[in-house]
Amino acid sequence: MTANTYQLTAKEKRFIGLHFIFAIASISIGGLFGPFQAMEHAGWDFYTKFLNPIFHSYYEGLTLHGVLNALIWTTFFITGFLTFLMIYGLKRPLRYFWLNQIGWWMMVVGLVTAAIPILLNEASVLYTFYPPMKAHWAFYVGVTLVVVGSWIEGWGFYLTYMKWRKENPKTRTPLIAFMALITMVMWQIATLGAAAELLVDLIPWSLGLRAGLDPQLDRTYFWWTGHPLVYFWLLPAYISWYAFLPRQAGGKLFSDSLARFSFWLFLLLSVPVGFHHQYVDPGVPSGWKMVHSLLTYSVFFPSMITAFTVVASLENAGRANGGKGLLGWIAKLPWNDPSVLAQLLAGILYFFGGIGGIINASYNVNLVIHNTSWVPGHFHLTVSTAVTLTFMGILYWMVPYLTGKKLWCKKCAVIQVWLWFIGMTIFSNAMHVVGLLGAPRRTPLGQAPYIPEEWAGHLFRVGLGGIILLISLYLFVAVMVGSLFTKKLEEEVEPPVAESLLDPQTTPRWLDHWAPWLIGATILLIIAYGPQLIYQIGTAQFTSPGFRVW
Amino acid sequence: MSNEKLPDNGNDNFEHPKGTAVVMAIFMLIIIILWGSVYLIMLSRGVDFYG
Repeated sequence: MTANTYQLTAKEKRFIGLHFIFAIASISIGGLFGPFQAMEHAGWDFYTKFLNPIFHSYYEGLTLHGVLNALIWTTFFITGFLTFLMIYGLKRPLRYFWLNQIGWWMMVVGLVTAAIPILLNEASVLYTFYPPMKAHWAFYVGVTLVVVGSWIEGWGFYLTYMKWRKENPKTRTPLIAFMALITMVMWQIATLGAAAELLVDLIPWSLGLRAGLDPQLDRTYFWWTGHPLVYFWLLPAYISWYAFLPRQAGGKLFSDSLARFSFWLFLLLSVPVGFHHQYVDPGVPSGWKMVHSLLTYSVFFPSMITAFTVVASLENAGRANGGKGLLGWIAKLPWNDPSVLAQLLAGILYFFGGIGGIINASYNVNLVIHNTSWVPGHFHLTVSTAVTLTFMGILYWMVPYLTGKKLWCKKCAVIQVWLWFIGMTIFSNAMHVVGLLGAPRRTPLGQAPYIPEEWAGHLFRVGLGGIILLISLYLFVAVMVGSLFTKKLEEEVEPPVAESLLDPQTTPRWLDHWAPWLIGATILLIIAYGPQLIYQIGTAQFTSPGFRVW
Repeated sequence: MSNEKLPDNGNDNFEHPKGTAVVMAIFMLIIIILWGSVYLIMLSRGVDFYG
């Protein structure tokens, strides 16, 4: 049998590249507002001094920051990356390319539709869009189109996989395609909550077709999606850590089986955990909050499998590079490669993000940090570092792969990654500490008539970290743009897909069967959410009007 | 698809990931310290017990 050596066509590369262009454009705008928030905390308020009347308020900026970064940068990058993983992994073209193109266009139309009301200050409801704050209907429609567009791209993946499976009945699903599929399936289960909230409640309500809403019920719908959303961001980063980073570092994946097992557990356990975001909400019995708390703790298990397997793969690489002793292999990793560096530093800060996550998930300890600036401090270690810095690292090899051009100014890329790491360490640590001191989140602290003396130094560090991150972000954008106009490479870039230490064909068969895991995920969801949803829908009071609080 | 079961890139002397075990142990220790410190902050703010 001859090996299948299918390579992506120029058209496929262009399609993936378009996802990345929109992703980078989004973060280059959304990322600009993060430092404005941070500097506002430090007392340097650009909103009232310089940005008004183009950008009207702190909350408009915060909405732009959250929506463009957490929803658009991630979703566009991820759908593009998953497209690559499916085609390259299965070594075949998408079965219905046009279907994925429809999904892509729907996402673009959704982005524009949502962006217009935000830019007109008609939707400053933050990326969580909690009712009874009421945005312009176009915002909700736009967000819905982005999500549905990503679903359609996912359906294109499923149909492609089915065709591949028919042609390859006995072969284990190639790891990168397998992981891409689980990520997409998890996303589609996770977004059912937001779909219910948007389609049944928010869109009819914003169009005047419904008189009122029950905010409590909508918060439950939202957090059905809101927490697994984090895993939609994280799983593609994990894919890179499992399936690319070992090869980039000079080694092999420690265990194909562990990698697959952890992804099945993420599918099973990522979704039924939303009430841990609602620990202080009325209307959800504490017993159910405790159930979700325990399920959240269970996610610790696949997370630790991931940490172990990725570090063991890196140890394998470091030793292959000549590393000796218990920890001597760490110094032998290719720290001067910006793509590797970005992922290593993302992983280091993610260790601390993970620890913060355990604290957030603890039912009682959560009360110390709930709704304080600790929380954005935490998720800037997860989505803004573990995820974003890893995505940047992926782009550092993928843009040359897609364009056939070399990475412009590799040294700038290395500096960019270090700046991100330093800026985020300063920013995030300060946000955590000032949160422990009681500083609220989602609040323009710079406008407070007075603040406790002990916050001041930390708020300065928040601003300083923000400035360093801003420099890093635009250095990243410069490297990306510069790479489009630089010299052609003499040889094509080969995607650095890692081999496993053992042949994947020896991976147990039960790790390549979908049915038990899908059934398990469904049962767990019914147990974790079913009784509460029946109760909350049955007792809902659809009486709350909309409020414009900005 | 190759039937190869052993690594062939110079890694075939790969040992048990002892360094990884050390890293994970350090990680667990940091978890305990940081979680415990926030737990102590909670206790320092006063705790009401039912009953």
